[in-house]
Amino acid sequence: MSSTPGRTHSGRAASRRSASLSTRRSRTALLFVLPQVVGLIAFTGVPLVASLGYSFTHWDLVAPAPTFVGLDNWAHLLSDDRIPAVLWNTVRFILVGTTSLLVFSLIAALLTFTPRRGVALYRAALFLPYVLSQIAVGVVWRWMFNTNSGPIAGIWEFFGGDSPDWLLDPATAMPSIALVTTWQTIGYGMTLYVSALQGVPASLLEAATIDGANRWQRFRHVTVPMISPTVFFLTVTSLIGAFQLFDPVVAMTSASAGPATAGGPSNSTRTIVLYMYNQMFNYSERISGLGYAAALAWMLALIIFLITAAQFALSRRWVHYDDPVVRASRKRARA
Amino acid sequence: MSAIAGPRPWSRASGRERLGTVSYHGLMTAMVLAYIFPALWAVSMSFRTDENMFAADQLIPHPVTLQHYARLFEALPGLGQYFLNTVVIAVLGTAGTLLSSSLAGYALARFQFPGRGVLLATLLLTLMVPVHATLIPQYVVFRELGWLNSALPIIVPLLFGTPFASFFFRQYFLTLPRELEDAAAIDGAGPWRAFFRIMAPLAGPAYLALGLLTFVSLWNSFFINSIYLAKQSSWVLTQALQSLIGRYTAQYGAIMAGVTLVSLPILIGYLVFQRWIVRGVSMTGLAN
Amino acid sequence: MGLRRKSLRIAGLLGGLSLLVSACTGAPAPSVSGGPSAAQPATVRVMLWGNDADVTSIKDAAAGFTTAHPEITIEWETGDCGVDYAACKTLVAGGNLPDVFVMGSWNYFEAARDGVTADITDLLARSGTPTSDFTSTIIKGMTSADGKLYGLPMGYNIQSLFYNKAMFDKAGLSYPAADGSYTYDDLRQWSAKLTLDKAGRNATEPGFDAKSIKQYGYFNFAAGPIEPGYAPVLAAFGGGILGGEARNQCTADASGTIDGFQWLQDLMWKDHSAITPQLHQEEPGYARWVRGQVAMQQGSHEQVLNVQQQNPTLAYDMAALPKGPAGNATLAQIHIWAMAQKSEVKDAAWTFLHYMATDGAGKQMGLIPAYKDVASGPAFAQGKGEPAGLVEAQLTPATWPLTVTNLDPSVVWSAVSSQDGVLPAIEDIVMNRKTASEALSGICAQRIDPLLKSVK
Repeated sequence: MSSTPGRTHSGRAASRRSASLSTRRSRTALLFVLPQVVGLIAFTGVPLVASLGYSFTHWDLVAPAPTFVGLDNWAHLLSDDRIPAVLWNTVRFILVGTTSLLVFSLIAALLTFTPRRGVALYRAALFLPYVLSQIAVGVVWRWMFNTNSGPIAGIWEFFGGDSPDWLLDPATAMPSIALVTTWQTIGYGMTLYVSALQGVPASLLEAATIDGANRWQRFRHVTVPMISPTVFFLTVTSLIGAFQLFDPVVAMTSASAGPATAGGPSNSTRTIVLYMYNQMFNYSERISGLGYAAALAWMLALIIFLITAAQFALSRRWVHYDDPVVRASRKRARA
Repeated sequence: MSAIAGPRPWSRASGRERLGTVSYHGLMTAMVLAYIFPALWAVSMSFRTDENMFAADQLIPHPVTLQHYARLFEALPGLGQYFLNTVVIAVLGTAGTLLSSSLAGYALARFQFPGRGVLLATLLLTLMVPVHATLIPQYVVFRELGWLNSALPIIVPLLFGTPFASFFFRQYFLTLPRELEDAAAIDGAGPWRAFFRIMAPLAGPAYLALGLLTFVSLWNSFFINSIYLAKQSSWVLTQALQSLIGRYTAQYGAIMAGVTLVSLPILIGYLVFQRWIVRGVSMTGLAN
Repeated sequence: MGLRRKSLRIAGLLGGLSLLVSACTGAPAPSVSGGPSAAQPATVRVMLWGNDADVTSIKDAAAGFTTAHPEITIEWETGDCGVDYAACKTLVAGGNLPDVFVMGSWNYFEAARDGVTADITDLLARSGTPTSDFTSTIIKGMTSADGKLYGLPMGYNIQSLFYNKAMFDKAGLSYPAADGSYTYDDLRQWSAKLTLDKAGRNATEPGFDAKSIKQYGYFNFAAGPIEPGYAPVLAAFGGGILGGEARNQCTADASGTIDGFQWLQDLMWKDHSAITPQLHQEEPGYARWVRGQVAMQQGSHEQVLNVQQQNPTLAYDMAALPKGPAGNATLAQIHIWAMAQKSEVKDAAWTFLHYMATDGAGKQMGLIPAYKDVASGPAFAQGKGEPAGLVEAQLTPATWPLTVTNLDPSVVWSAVSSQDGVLPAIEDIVMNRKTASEALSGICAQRIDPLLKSVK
C-alpha cells in the first residue's frame, strides 16, 4: 500500500472515465449485434421455443391442434429401447468421420497453403467434392462401393483383403458413409483452415526462425496456437453437424427414395436425427408426431450442449485468443 | 514488409529446392487426382452414351456424346429462369450473412456488453436443435407473415445473419491482434470506423472463406427450397435436377449433365476468388 | 436489470409461442354447400409430383379443362405431397395444403384416415358418373370399409415381364406367353438358359463360370429391395407380407411368402442367373435390361419410355407375369386425384378433379387409365411405339383374382416395411445371408405383431 492519495484519486477518475466509455461501447455493441438478435428472435427463436413447447404435447401434424400431455414424451425417452442403438450409430460415425475430417482438412490446408505455382489449382480440385450436388454424390458413391467393379473393393482386394459389401453390410455401412462425408467436406474444412493460416503474422514465424526454431517447432508453437480458435470452431461445429447426420444416410441407404426406409442395412445407419424424422413424419405409433420428435430433438440438443460446454471448458487449455477479457479470465482461472 | 504469413519468395532456387518442388507437384498431382476421381466420374457420366453409363473403363468416355446436355435443356426449358432464381438467393443470402454476422461476431469478440454470454450460448443452441424439429413452427411463422410460396422465407432470415456465421466471425476476430484497434481509437476513430476501415479488411480471408462456403451451400441446398418454392417459375437448380428422377428410375446422363453445369460456375468463381484471397492478404498486410 | 431484460425477452418468446399454438388450431373447414358454385370464377391450386415428363403429361391432359371451364384458373405447383405423405403433413400443419393433389395407393388411406382428403362419395353420386365407369378392381380397392371414396383414380401401373426377343431367339427359346400362361418354374429355367458366361456357356451347362457372366437372365426390383419387385412373386406363391381383408394380418412367415422369397434368392445366388443387390448397386438392373445385357425383367409401363429414350432399337416385348403355385398374380399401384378436406374452393376443385379422372383421363404420368375404355383406346393400348403384348400384359392382369394393390386400408405398411419391420429380413434374404425360411420364421410373433399392436 505505497500508493499516494493523489495516485489513488487519478486512478478513480480514470476508472470513472473508462466506466462511461464502456457504457458507450456496450451501447455500440448492441447496435452491432442488433440484426443478428432480431433475426434470431424473429426467425429462429420463436420456432425454437415453440419446438420446446411442442415436446410437452402430442401432435401428429394433421390433427387440428396439439394436445398437452405434460412430461409424457420426456418419460417415453427413458423407455424407448431404440435410442441407445441410434446414439451408438451416431457415435460410430463421429469416431471415423469427424476425426478424419479435422485431420485431413488441416493436412490439405497445409499442403496447399504455400503460394506456389499450381497451388490454386490443387485447392480448387480439393474443393470440388464440396461443390458437387448431393444427387451426384449418392449416385457416384453407390457405384464406387459396388463390389463387382467398384474401385474401393478393387483397392481392398489389391492389398489382399476379402472385400466386404460396404453399404450393403451392417458392419461396414456406417464407416462407408463416414468416408463419403469426409470426402465431401475436406474442401470445406480446408477453406476455413487456409483463412486461419493467412491470419498468422509472418513476423512471428520469422522471429521464431531467428530464435532457432525448426519447421515443426514453428508449426507447433506459433502456427497451431494462432489458428487454434479456428480449429476450435471447426471441432465444435463439425461435432454438432455429426450428431445431426441425416442427408448422406438417406442418399446412400434408402431402399425407396426417402427417409422412411433409410437407415439400413439392419438399422446399422439409423442416426438419432433420422429416427427423429421417422417419428415425426413416418411412424404412426401412439407416441409418434411432432411432440415426441421435439423431445428427441431437445434431448439431442442437450447432449450436444453438454459436449460443447466441455469443449469450451477444455478450450481454455489449448485455444489462444488475443483478447484481454479471455486472457484475464484465464489468468484468474490459473491463479 | 508484409506482416501476414506467406513464405518469402524463393530468392534463388537451389538444386535441393528444385527437387523438393518436383516431388511436391508429383505427390500432389497423384493425390489430388485420386481424391477427385469420384467427381470426375460424375462429370464423365454426363458425356457417356447410355450403353456405357456404368462401365468401369469409361473414365474417359468413348465414344463421347452430348445427347444428355441436349436432353437436359429439352426436359427443363426453364433452366435459365432457375439459374437466375438460384443466383438471387445465393447472392443476397451470402451478402446478408456476411454483413450481419460479421458485425455480430465482431461485437461478440471485442465488446463487453450485458448478455454477451447468453447471446453466444443461444447462437450455439440454435445450431444444436436439428432443423426438422423447428421446421413446422418456422413454416407457421412464415405463413403468418404471408411469405409462403415465395423466396422470402429463404432469403430474409439470411439478411439478419446466421448463428453459424456469427460464431465463425467471433472466432476469427479473436485471432486478430488488438493493437490495431487500440491505435485507431487513439487516433480518434469510433468503433464503426475501426470496424469498417481496419478490422473488416483485415478479416478479408475470413469473409472470402465464409462467403464461399455460404454461397456453395445456398447454391446446392434442396430441402428448404423444395418446401417453400412450390411454383415451377420460382424453382432453383437443385429442384430442377431432382425432377429428372422418377420414383424407381432416373435419367443418369441428364442428371450428371445438370450437376456438371450447376457446379461449373462455382468452380470458376473459386478459381477467380483464389487470386483475390492471395491479393487481399498482401494488400491488407499493414505495411509497417 | 440484466435479469429483467432477460425475463422480458422470455416473455416475448412465450407470447410468440401462444400465437403459434393458436395459429396451428386453424380455421374450421368451409363447407361445400356454402361455397361458390362452379360457374363462379375461382382459382384452384393443384400440386403435382413426378419427373419432368410426368408433370408435362398432366398439364397437357388438363388443356381441355381450361377450354371447357374458362372461369376456373389452375395454379400449378410442384411438391412431394402425394408421393411422400410427410410432405402433405408439413403442408397441412402449415395450413398451406393445395386444393387438389395426386395421392398414391401407398398413402391414400392414411390421408383419408387423417381427414386430409375430402370424402367425395356424394359428389360423385351427384355428378352422374357411376363407379362402374372405373376399372372395378381399382375403384373397389379404393372404397373404404364403410363405402366411402376419397378420390378418383388417375390411373394405375401393373407389373409385367419385359423380355429381350433377340436373346430368346438366340437361345432357341419360344417367347413367354403374353397372357401369362407359363409358370415361375419356366421362368427360372429360361433365366438360367439365358445367363451366359464369357465363353458363351449358359448357367445350366457344366463348366459354367459364375465369376465371368456376360449376360444375365432376369432382374427383379426385389434386389432393391422394394415392394413392387417382390409383391407380385409372393402373391403368385400364395403369400405376402400382410394378408387379410384389411391388410393388417402378418403373413410374412407363411409358406407362400417364404417360397416366393426363396425363389428370388435361388435365382440370384443358386443359379447365378438374376441381378443381385451388389450388381444392382453397380448399375440399376432395369438399365442393364434396357441396354440389352439382361434378358428379362419384371417392371411397369415406364420401361417402355426408358427404351424409347435410351435404346430405341431394342427388340423387346412384354408378357403378363407367370403363374405361381397359387395362380397368376401381379401388383397394381394407383395414382389418385384427391382434394383437400379444407379447400375453400371445393366446387371448383371437384370440377377439376372429376374432369381429370373422366373426360381428361388417359396419358397422365404414363399410367393405364382406369376410366371406362379409355385404356383400350388411342390414349394407351393403341399408343405409338407400344409393344405387341401390351393389352394382355397390362390390362387383363388387373382382373386376376390374386392381383394385389398396395393400398393400405389399415395404415400399417410404412411401419411394417421399415427397418423396424420386415426390411432387415428381406435384406438378409436378397444378400444371401440367410435362407428365406431362416430369415422369416417366427418374424410375425417376434417383430411384426408387436409392431402392428403399437400402431394406433
